[in-house]
Amino acid sequence: MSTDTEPRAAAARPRGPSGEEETPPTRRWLSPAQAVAVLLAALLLGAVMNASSLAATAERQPFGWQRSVAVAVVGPVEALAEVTGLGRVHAWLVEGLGGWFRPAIREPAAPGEPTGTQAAGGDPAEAATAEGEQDATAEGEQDATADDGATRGSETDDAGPRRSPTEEDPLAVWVAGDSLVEPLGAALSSALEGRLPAEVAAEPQYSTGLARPDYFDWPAHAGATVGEDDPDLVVVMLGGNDDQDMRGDEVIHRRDDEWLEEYRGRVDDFLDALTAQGAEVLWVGLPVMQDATFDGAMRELDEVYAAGAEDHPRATYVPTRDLLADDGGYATYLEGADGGVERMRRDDGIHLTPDGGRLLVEALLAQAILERWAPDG
Amino acid sequence: MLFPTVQYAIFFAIVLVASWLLTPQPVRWKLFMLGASYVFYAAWDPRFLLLLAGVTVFNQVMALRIAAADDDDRRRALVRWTVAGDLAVLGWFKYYGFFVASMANLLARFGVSQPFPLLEIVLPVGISFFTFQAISYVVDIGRGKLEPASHLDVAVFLAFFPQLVAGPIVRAREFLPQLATRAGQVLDTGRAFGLITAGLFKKVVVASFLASAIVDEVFANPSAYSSGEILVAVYGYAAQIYTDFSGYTDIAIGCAMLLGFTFPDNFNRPYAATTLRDFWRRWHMTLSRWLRDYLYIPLGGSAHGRARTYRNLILTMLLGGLWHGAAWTFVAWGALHGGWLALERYLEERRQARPAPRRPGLAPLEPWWIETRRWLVTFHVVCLGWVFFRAESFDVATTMLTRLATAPGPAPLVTVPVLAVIVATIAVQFLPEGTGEAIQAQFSRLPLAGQALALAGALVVIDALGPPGVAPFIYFQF
Repeated sequence: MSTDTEPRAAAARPRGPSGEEETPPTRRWLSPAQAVAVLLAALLLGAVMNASSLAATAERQPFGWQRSVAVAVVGPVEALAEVTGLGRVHAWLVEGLGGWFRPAIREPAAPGEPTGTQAAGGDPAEAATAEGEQDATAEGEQDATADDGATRGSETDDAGPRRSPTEEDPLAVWVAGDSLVEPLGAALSSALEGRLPAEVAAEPQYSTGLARPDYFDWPAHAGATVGEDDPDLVVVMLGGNDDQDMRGDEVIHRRDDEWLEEYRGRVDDFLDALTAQGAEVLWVGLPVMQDATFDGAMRELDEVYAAGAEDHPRATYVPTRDLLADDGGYATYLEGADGGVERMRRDDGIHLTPDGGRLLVEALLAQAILERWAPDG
Repeated sequence: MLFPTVQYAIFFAIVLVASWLLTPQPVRWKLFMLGASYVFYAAWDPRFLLLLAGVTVFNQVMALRIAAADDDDRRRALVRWTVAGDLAVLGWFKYYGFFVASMANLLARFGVSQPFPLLEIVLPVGISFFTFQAISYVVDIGRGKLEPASHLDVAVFLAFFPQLVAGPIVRAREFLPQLATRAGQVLDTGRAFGLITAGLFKKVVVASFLASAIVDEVFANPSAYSSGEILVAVYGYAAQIYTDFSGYTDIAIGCAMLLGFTFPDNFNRPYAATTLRDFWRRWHMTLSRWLRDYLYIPLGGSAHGRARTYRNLILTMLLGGLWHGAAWTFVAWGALHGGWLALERYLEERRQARPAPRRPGLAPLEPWWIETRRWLVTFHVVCLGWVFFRAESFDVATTMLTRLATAPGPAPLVTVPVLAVIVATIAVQFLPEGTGEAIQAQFSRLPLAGQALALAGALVVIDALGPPGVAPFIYFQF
């Protein structure tokens, strides 16, 4: 670093055509004040031009004062974008390149928009069904089949006789949830291989849960998917993102008494949507988390899932707190499905590794599925 | 706090303004920068601050003792103890669980139960980077290349937020002198803004696209995908890890530059390399250089005969592999790189030992097809390494490699955009050297308003093409 300017600047030019007698392109260096001015101007202008996406980001934050501030700040910026027309470039780019580049990216639903048309990044089959689907149809279907589902539900209630899956008509399993389900799909397919003809479609929807339907509406999405794919079994695991305030008619704070009540209602709605076509649900409970506070919150949610699934005629709750723990406490490493000590959890103290997923599947899920669909096998 | 977030943009804008306002008062500036860096780090977990501060105090205390030691033996011993202390901290937080689990599995084969308890240890963000930087500080003092700096300077060096969590690994003797010469600078803003914009584009647009379009799905469950998808997922990961990692460090280097610091380059078009040795001079250059200066050369480097040289290469890369993560797959990655580097060296030595070329007088340039073949081999060795690097277990890696040859079938994940992005990422690395610099120079000659407009335009393009509402902004962990 130096206090002189241009001559030293040229000498410090980090890389350039070496050896050649070429004159390097001269560049202008700025004083710190000029640099700060350029950066701030670019950020402010960029904020106005990106106002729509900033607003969406602010909206999606957990309810609370930070969100309120963010929304309040972004409001005028968005207005400015509209008045000046500066917001149009962003919209135009998204539209223009939409067909080419964006669909492969997981697109969260815009607030208030039903999610039946969601292009699910997680699963090609899902993406195909989602293409151009009408929400109205999907939801209509869900309504129309609700009775039918209920009837079928009572028929096979209480683990009555189920169909025998064959190679031609394998057991259709849909693994749905947040990032926690990521390792379960692969583990399930390989666990069932050779034991039961099954087709497993896994769909982790990142950053989702039941607390923020304005971000991703699981019941609506479930209705559409179940209507289209008619799975025999849905394996559900979620909740990691749900320790936050919710909004009904007004904001329901996480620590309020009504919160658990409202959440329980959402679990019931989700289960109803999942089972509307007669599918059964295995609801996988949340494992012990590394952070004690977070674990306390997750344990509360887990109790809601257990109660919801137990009260539902077509759902079964699968607890994981004992399996994925050492003496009841969080465990990064545990004896795995093959008897060796394996890493079960990721560095974040929350997610399962593939070995963790395998342990969960081998020790609990595969068993539950085989008991139901291959009692003799 | 991650770079490509609105939070960071606000944080950086505030810090940048305050930093230049405080520059005339160096002590206040350092206190401010230390505070800002600690705020940045505490955004992950405030408990980590204790560790960072502890590592700082330990290394500074030892540095002063090393500098005060009056004979070489004592100095060397102190350096060893300090490095051992730093590695013990790293080992405890990063490798304890891996070590105990691996040992348990080994002992179980002999019917012995293992003696160490499995403990729950949280891995602090960036620990691999700041312990390596601390080691560079004390070792260079031990070697007489550096004088101990003031407590505050060392604290700022180890915590400086642009490089704190993911590098580049800046050496103490590069960083510390710059603290004294900050006032009155002019800034190479063409380069700084160019790096930040390119870094954001690579990380937010390209890397996110490849991860969600093909890479994550295939690596999560390779048995569900065909050979074509697996092949493209491997190429896709090669492009993803490059754009993600080089993008992140580009942003770091650019931000440091706006704050008045020159950082070393970290990537130089690595996929244009025609030998693996060449690759390591272009990939994560600050790590290769660190490994060379503080591991390979202390091991003896290439000074003790061929066998020792090969051993040192392999050992360096094995440990370098383990540095990336506590799992055997990273060891396999390191073994492949170390083994291939040794093989390349062996073949090169044999080639040079042969009699002179049959057609003397010709330029020693290789025909194009030999260069092309070398490039192809090097690139695919690197890609083979990435399979182990990315796979979460050997099962996944072997399934990937087996299915490469045994799983024909349709490949719906292999789309035109995916292929185009991968090819473009690699092709860009063959542009003539200096292309980026020329663009930066053009940009720097724009009037200031034009520069702001161009940058704002770039932000719009990046945001419009990136995944909507970059998830970490809300739900960092999911």
